[in-house]
Amino acid sequence: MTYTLDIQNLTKKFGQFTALNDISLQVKEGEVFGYIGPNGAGKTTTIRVLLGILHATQGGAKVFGLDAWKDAVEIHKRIAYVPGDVNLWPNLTGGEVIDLFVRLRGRHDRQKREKLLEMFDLDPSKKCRTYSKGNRQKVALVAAFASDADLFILDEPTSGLDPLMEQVFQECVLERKNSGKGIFLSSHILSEVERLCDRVGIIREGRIVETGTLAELRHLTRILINVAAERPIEGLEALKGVHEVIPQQDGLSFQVDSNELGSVVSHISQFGVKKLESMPPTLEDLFMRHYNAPDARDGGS
Amino acid sequence: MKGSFTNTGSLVRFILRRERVVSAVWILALVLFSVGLVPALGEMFGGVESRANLVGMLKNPSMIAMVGPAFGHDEKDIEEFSRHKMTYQAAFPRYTEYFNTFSAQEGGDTDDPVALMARFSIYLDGLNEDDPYKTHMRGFEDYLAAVPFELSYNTGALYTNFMLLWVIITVGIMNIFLIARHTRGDEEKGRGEVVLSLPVGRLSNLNASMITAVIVNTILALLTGLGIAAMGVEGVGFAGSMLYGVALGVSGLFFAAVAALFCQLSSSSRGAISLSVLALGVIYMLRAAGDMNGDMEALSYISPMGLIQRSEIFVENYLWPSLVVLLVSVVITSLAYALNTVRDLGQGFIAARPGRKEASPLLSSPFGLAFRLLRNSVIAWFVGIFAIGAAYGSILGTEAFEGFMETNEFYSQIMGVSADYTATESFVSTIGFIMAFIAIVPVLIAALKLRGEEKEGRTEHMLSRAVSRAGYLSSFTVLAFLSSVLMQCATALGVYSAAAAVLAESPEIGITLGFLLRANLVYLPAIWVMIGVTVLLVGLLPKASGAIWGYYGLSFFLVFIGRLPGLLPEWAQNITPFAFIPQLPMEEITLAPLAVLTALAAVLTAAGFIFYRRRDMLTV
Repeated sequence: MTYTLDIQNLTKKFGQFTALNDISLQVKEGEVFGYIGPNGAGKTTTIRVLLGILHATQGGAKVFGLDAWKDAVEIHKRIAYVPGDVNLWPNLTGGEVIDLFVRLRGRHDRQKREKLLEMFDLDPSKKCRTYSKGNRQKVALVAAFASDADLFILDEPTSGLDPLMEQVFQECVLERKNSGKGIFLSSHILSEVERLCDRVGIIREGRIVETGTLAELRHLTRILINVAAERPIEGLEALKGVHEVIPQQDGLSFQVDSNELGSVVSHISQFGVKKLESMPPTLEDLFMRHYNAPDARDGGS
Repeated sequence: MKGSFTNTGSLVRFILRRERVVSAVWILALVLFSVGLVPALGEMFGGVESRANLVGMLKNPSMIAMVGPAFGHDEKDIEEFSRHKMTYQAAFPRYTEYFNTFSAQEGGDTDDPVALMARFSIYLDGLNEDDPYKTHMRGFEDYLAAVPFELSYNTGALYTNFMLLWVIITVGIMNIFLIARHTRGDEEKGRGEVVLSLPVGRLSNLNASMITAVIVNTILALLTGLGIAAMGVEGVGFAGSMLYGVALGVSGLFFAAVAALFCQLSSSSRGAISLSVLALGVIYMLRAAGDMNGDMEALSYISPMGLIQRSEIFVENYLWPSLVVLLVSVVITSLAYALNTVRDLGQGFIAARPGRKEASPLLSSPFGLAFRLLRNSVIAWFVGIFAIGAAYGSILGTEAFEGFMETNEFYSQIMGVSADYTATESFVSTIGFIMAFIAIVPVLIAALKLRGEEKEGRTEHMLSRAVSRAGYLSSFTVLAFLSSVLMQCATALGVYSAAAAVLAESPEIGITLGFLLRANLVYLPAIWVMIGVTVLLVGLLPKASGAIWGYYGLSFFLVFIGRLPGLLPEWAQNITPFAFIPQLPMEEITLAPLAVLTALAAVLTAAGFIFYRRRDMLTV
């Protein structure tokens, strides 16, 4: 199996501070990988190492099987990158910057550029100093999507976009995904990650705390159940994997570990179920669980 | 408008908090430099004789153009002294022989004549006490003792003539940066609106910045004045010392006001700084033109620098020039306040036009980007340097200059210099030296641009694309090298364009365009070393790359002070590459030192590349 992106035991220190602590993760070909974590967790640092802008202290990263530091230029010919904090040259126009970025990769598709400018509703004749954060982000997005890259590395690309533009962005990503391109998406907008990503990695305080498909991750968490029955439900607390049983107006609510769901459902069916609602955990629940982990309180967000 | 200045006090404290390192370093460096040179200069020119020689040097038109007129000496006294001395020296039969021995030791004529003669005096002083010449000249000293006359050129006046203008320029630049940083700079970075969203008045930030400038300049004035007075050197009195400090502080405030004004007019902090520094250059040139030409002395009074010089510090101690400059500063500041209330945040009065929708074909490589980013600055500097060169060139051959030449000839004669070098030639060499130091500024800006891009987080746009680090760094480096050649040509062409007519009429002066080009391009190896040091800093110590400006300032003062023979030990002069540059036409071009400098520049640059390729890109 060849990985588009392969990070092995990567550690990055800035002086005494350890920004990334022995992280490993892989992105397969044609996969959309969501990279989430609180502020300051190390998302951008990871991306900068992938781009060869920072030198790994230990371990390393491979992109397309090439070394991210040594073969940076070769790798970058096939990559498109959108930084989280897009800072542009104040005295150049948006159009000029887009052209420069696209030409640096070689192939220049004018039609694509015009189409994207229209989709993102961006005026290319304005100087970058007059652009808002969202508009600067659009410049970087147009330049990225106008290029014919094999891997898109996007660092919180929609943090300044309005909901309409976010929609456009998601369409663009899905289009790339459908044509088999790899996408590495660092994001805070969990609904976006849920909609776009095949697999997710969660980073906290420089460590990867969870990776897997959304289904796999959900498996690890609890499902919220609301139930109403003809007779009072008994013996629920004694069952394995049941937590936080709270009486409600017309029944009970409780949480159950995903892998114990079957036995719990067969237990409550004895009491004549009138109503049964189950809510799968959202990515947000997952995320919050890791945010609120006891040892995360003093650092992180 | 109501409450325009609300909460200025808190903002002043806030700005002072942010300034505590930068401004403190500026003030400390300036004060140490100003105070430290008082005893050094006083000791150096302790004797009547060396002081008379110095006046001869300061009377040289090139020196007047550079540092302004010398006040506080009675020319008649000095002429009389010199005449007596000349008579005495000439009466010594083997004087010429001694000079020839000295010249042979020096290895031929290797400097400008005035400095050569000054060194010759030191040589004569160093002779054994029982040397026939010393015995002979003792008779002269006896004569001086018997027929005393007042030589009123005191150490303070000498110090002021020599130093004031340079320190004013440095203080001016400090103030321009200070104001631009806290007004336009903050607006550009988006910090301005955070402050404006607080309960502060529209003018509070500008007002707080100006009050900070007042505080900084007051501290500078007090420390400098007290420091100079505390040295207790004879002829450097308390009143004069304090006035010297006041003159510096007031000049600083003037440039703070100028910067505040340009910060309203221009729409970027870089534009505001460029316009302010340009104004500083114009003010400097105005007084040079006025000082050189008696008919146009009004120009020196219009220029605040020229006006401040006419305080005649340590001689007459006039306070009024400082008061006038202070008043003008207040007027300019008010104008800036008025403009600030009517303009919008982030906008200037020079409106932004819509730009190109597509990039030109040139903008398709890192080099294209570097060129595009530096183009306007390079053009502006080229034009500016051409104009300053032309201003100097226009002084050549004017009647006033001829007058100076005569005076100079007189001094040369009494000091025994043969007419090997004309005043014109010595003037041209001095121009070359000053202009080289002006021309390095855009070159270093180009070399440092890369670091600025990195700090702003724009480097990653390039390095995340198919651009190698070496390719990216070399785009800016190549442009720095190219612009060094361009700027040196601009000087030569500028001087030539204004002086061409005069020079063509009098071919005996022997100054052609080819000569001017040679005299200016010969500085290139030293400029390249400066580029090399910059590239090395960017590669190895990116956070300290601004230190190149410290080295630049140090180089200037070492070379400038090095013109005074014997003040600096040789090794101290040699830490700047400029010490190895021959000054045409007084010195000849020898290839070896130039080749060594060029090789050194290449090594430094290459080392910079190696380190740059290895290090992390930083956004701090």
